[in-house]
Amino acid sequence: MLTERQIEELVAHARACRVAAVEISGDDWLLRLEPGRVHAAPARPAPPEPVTLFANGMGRFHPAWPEARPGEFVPQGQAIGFLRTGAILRPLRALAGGTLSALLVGTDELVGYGQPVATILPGGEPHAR
Amino acid sequence: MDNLALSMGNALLGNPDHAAGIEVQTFPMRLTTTQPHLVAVTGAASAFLDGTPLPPCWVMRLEPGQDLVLKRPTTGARSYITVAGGIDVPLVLGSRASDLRNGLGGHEGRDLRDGDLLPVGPAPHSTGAQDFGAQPPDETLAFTSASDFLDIRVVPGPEHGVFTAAAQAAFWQDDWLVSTMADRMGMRLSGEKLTLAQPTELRSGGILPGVVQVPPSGDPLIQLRDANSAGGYPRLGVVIQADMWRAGQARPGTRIRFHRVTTAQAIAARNEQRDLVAALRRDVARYAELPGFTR
Repeated sequence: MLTERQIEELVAHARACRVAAVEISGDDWLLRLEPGRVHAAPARPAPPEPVTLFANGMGRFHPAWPEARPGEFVPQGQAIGFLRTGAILRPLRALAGGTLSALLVGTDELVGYGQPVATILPGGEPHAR
Repeated sequence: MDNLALSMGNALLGNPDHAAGIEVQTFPMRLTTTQPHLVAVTGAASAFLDGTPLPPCWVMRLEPGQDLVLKRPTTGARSYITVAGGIDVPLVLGSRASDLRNGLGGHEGRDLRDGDLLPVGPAPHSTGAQDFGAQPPDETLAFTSASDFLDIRVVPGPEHGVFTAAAQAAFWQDDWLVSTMADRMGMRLSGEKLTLAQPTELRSGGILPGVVQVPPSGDPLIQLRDANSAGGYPRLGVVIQADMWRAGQARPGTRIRFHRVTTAQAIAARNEQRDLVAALRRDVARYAELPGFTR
């Protein structure tokens, strides 16, 4: 997206060059400048709030198979990691489908009950790994 | 073939170690149920419950109407399905195993077919725990295979000394390719031809699963679970008991490397594997009541 200063400079150039209209777009925005009028693209919807995944028990964190990495889409219900207690693994499953925005614990890190372990940005689409 | 996978499946479910399970080596395989059952999938698994991928060595509750599908695993040859209570086929000669060659035991003495309905025994005391599992043994055992090879430990066999020095060196140092001549009885390997130092006549002797024989062709042959009971080819080595599960996961095209170990090392490896299963059994009982074990 352009800064306010860049837009002002663009308007000034458009006027100086007697350009009737300038239209610039990005992935999710559109800016159209006409002398005397400005049409902005529809307001961008507020980004979804990240959902925090909390540990449902205690244990040492073990990455998932295949490993879930920040930036990747995880479907609802997919294990993004495990809690290892003794020889047993329990899954930490995504409560909602979305993009894994952060893993908050590292491999073999001791995790307590209720501790945040990951954040997921809901929505998005699955993509090939 | 992969006895460790079967043991881990039974341990995860609280079954006796000898409870019968299903060995799957033809994929894909789809399993449904008429009653809710606690099911474990172990071994070289690529399992999906209603389309959702399951981690390896995993326990889940299979409800009527749900599909458990096993697809061809990316590594390994065989997956194992165990059920709480075990597959309750009759005991034949003290075993529930299928002897396909002789048509004995198991389910009507044959391999499974589409539509077969298998009986399940009474489940052991259930804590209600489900959706949990264990790390695959390759992650937890001290001796692991490199990604491109199957590493198998072997003790020298009784006739190790009758082979040429070059043949002995080749056996321990070369890579060996599992040929297409492989089944439950044995698998033939291809590589350097192994030759005897001089022509040797041997009386037939007892052999066991794991024995590595070398027939006149010079290609070593590993006896597997349905091994012959006797044979007359020289025995170059014996795959240690703790690595028979690895051999059971080899498929044609797998490259094998042999590692020479002593009998004491073989026993230590067997004990380590036994302890792994015991710890799994203990921890399932110990932790199954903790929060997070039930969904």
